[in-house]
This record gives sequence, structure tokens and C-alpha cells, in this order.
Amino acid sequence: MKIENSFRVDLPVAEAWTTLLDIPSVAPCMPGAELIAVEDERTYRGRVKVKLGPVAVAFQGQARLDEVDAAARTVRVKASGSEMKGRGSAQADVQFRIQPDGAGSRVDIATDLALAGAVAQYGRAQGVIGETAQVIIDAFAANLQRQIAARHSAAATTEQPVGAPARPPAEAPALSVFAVLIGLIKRWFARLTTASR
Amino acid sequence: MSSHTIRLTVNGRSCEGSVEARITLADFLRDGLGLTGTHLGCEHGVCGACTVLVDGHTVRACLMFAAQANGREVTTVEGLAAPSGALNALQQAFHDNHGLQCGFCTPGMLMTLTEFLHDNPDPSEAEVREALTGNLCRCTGYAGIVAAALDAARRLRQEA
Amino acid sequence: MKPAAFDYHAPCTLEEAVGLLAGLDNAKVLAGGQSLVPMMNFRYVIVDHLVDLAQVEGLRSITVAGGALRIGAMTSQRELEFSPEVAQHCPLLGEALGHIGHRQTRNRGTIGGSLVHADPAAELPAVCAAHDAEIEIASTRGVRAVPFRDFTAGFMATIVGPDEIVIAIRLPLWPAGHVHGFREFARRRGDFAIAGAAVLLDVGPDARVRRAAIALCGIASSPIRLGEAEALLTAGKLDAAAIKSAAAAARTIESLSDIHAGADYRRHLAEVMTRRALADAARRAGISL
Repeated sequence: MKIENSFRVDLPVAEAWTTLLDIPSVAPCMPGAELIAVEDERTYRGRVKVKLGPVAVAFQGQARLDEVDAAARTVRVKASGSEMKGRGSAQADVQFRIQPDGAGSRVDIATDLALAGAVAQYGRAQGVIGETAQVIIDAFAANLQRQIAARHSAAATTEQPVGAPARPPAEAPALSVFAVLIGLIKRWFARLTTASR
Repeated sequence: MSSHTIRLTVNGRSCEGSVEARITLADFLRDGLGLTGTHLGCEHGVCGACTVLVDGHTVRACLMFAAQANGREVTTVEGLAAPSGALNALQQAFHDNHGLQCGFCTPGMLMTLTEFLHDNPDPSEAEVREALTGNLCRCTGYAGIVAAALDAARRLRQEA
Repeated sequence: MKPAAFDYHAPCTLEEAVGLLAGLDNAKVLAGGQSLVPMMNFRYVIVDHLVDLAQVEGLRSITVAGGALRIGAMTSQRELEFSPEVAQHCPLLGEALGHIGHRQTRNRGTIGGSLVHADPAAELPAVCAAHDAEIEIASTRGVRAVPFRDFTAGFMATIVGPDEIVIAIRLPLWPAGHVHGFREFARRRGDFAIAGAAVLLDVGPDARVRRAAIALCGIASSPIRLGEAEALLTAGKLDAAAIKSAAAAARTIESLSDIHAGADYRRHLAEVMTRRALADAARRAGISL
């Protein structure tokens, strides 16, 4: 299944590149994600909890930064994981591209997702998984913005070194996802209804 | 996992049991009480083979946990015939009208029709067919079942 | 298929119920169970705790007050089906209920459970969308009321948090004498709707439409209000031509596509169901088409 998403970040391209590649630092921005271990400079082990409608699934596995092209600012990530309650597995081949977007940057993500087992049957209608992916990515982007803003004000007071993880890898709060969801409803409703109410 | 002591009435008799939370009413009736007349066809609420009465209303026993039946009155197919074993009017009508072949859907059909005929003593054929939409039969093509239901309705009206 | 192991809780008060949800991890509320338990039996849904609301006082009621029908979330679909208050004040709800599942599932299924489960094909969310319902949600932090248009949040998701419980649904009443229509297309009676239309019309003695509400189920992740069609009908005369053009507005919406029906077919059905539901409403208003 091919999914396309994108998000903006208020950083010039070069800084966006280094920020996003600092996996231990940005992992806490991903709702439901938990970084468990750094195996080597390109390989990470972690867990991701996702809610697809009424079904909450949790995957445990690994992600590897396969092709890192600093000149083109593209990264290819190969991730695979198995559902922790035996409901199947997932494999993702993800292409990231960072491009300038005004004063900031735009990150384009093209994911080739293969699900096996029970999880492959979730999401009765097309687009459910894509919709969920966009919600997660929007939440990630919002959390990342907050982290960047916090880091800039912290740097101004030299409280913590820039680039080091602000805290140990931890789960991002689920509440941030709900806040984004409520904001998304209005945009999504407007897309579907043919006149404003 | 939690265990629960439940006390309920099944076919007029008080029963008590200790069940794990995840045991469905269907499994409790079948395995706990040995009342295997209630059948499991799909375990997701669409086939109707597990239909029983709880407090007089039809429910899918596969979609209820035994713990939820605590304090309730349950009637299964085993509770339809007289203590002597004599078939009730609905069961007799099924017998007389070829309302069953393999018999797998039959307990669910009987329980659904028991509630239906109680609420609708004089149904039309269309109403009977609508009432049976929640019970699937692979053998009969439903004709014998519908005939049995209408026949039973007639007999019950005469008895009344 | 049997569900995975879990702990079962049966609180007797709302306070106890929200307290449990606040403290437990991976817990779900059990209402009628007609949608949740199949998913548990398939092990799609695996929970560590089920909080059964069946014994919580005060969640089953049907009252008319303040120009609205207030329904306790644990009121069964059966109770609603046979309720004189629903028949008199919310006939759209009454008609939609006959299309929900089967007698056996309506005996246990609840209105609150159906709304929180938020199946795209479900009828009750469409009725709530047409009525601009208000949903009352409780937690340890108190009670909040959310308009239905803000209640849904994507595919089979709502804004109800993991520690919150829907306690009631308020349906603002339409004027006495308003008319309704509900039409659904499914392959078999009781199946999930492939497309359904819920219609409310307030029609004046001159056959002019004072107000219209049209909600579709089965087309998108959650019910859609056909704003354009409603605008087309309002202030105009209700006749066959008006119905035809209003229904045609259904063709332009973005639709789901799955193994049961593609997007084009769903849009076609949306138009047909809308037209038929509007025609039913018109007939109820004594207008011959």
C-alpha cells in the first residue's frame, strides 16, 4: 500500500536535515512511539502504538536508515515490526525528502507499507490507514515545532546543549493526538460537505 | 484475568457458576451447564445459531459474557418442551412442516420465533420473513421454516 | 474464536465508572457489546479491562425537556424502537431503528455504544447528524457537551477520550408536524448500509420548505450533511423537480470505496436514497409528486 504525506517545519533546510536525522531527539515527537535502543548509527529498535479506529495495535521492531543522501537531502528508511499481541506484522519502505519551503522546509514522505496477518484486514475502507498516517504525521510535526521552539528559547538561556536529547527516550503523550484530531475534523468536514454550515 | 461467581436462572432452574471474565454466555451454557442445544455458528453475531432468551428477549449468546448474565433469567431451546419431553406447539409445527434438515440453525430459529410469536400472534408471511432475517439456514431455503412459523401461530391462537 | 483474557468490572455508579477508566490502562467501556464483542472474539480488539455500564444508574432514560429529546446513552435500541416519546417527537429515529441489525442485536445494542463505535455505515450517527444532536460526555473532570458535528474524528473514531464515557444524547426537536424520511441500501436486511439517507423537513402549508436536513451514512468515514442540497430545498416549493435537484447534489461528494461497493456506486446510491427519502417525507407532508 502506497501512502503519501508531508509536513512543514520552521527550519532552514540544512538545519531541518540534521534535526530530523537526530532520531533519539525527534522520536519523542512521534505520538505513540518509544525508542528502545540504538543498535548502531543507522539502526534503531523501538515500539509504535497506533489506533486504527477502535483497534489499538502495537508494533515492536527495528528501523534502519538505508540510503542517506546529504546532498539531495533524501533518506530511505526500512522498518519492520511485529504486532505485539500476535496480530500480524508490518514492513515499511519509507522515502523522506526535505526541500526548501519559503523560510522553512517541507518534508515529503512516500511510504510503501506491507501488512501481514490480522492487521492487514483492519481498516475496511481504503484510505483509513492513509488518514491515520496523516493524523500521526501532523501530530509529529506539531510536536516537533514545539520542541524546536523550546530548544531555541533554551539555547538563548544556555540551559541545555542543542542537539542532545532533552530527556530520555519516552512515549509522546497521546493527548497531543486528540488535540490535532479535533483541529482536523473541521478541515476534513469542510472537504466533504459541499457547503459550509 | 478476573473470575466471577454468577447466579442465574436457566430454563426455570437456579444455577451458579464461577467463570472467567472472557467466557461468553454461549460457552457457559454449553460447557458449564452442558446445555449444548445453543449452537455456535459464527461467533460474531450474524448467523443467529446461538440465539437464546435473556429476560424474555432474544440475544446473541456469543456476544454476551456469562458475567453479564448474573441475576438474569435465561431460556434456551432445552426449555421449550414440556418436562415430559412433549414438544411445544412451535416445535411440533417445525416437525410437521419440515422446518429443519440438519438442525444446526433450529434452536436459534425456535428462540427467535418464540419471542416473535409472543409479540406478534397473528403475523403475515412477510412479517415472519422479516423476523427471521437474523437467523441463517443453509439447508432448507427457509420455506419450511416460514410454513412452520405460520402454522405455529395458528395453533397458538387456537389454544389461546 | 474466543476473546483474549481481560478483567471485567461492573460499576454501579457513574462516579465509580469514570474513576475506573481514569485508573486503568488499556480499558474499554462495554455498552451493548454488539459491535465490540465481535471484534474481541476476532481478537481485533484486545483489552486488559472491560468496564460494563449495564448497572450504572441513570444512563437509561428517554425524556422530553427544553425542546429536546434527551436519551440516556445506555438506552437500548429496542427501548427506543418501542418508545412512544420517540414515535411522537423523533419519528426519524423511530424509522431508522428498524434498519439497525436485527431484533436480537437491537435488544442489547445501545444508542451510546453505536455513536462511540462510529461505524461509517451506522444509522444512529446519521440521525444524530440530521438532528444536530448534542453528546454529553463524562469523566473525572466533569461533564462536557459536544455538538455532533465535532464528535466524530475520522474512521471509527470519536473525540471521546480513553477515560471518558458518553452519558446522554440530546436531539433538538423539530416542530410538530415536521416530516421525515429514512432510506438505506444494503445487500440483505440488517446488513451494514452501503448508503443511507436520513431526512428531516419542515414544510409549510404552501408546500414551501422552511428547513431541511439531509444526512448520509455509508458514504464517508462519518455521516455527511448535504449542505448544498439543504440550501437548494430551503425556501423553495417541495416538488419532484426540487427533490431531483437536491438529490443530485449527493453525486458530488467524496465517497469511500471498499469490497462491498466502489465510490461511484456509493455516490449513485446516495443520490437514489436521498431522492427516495425526500419523496417519503414529501408524501408524509401530503404532497403528491
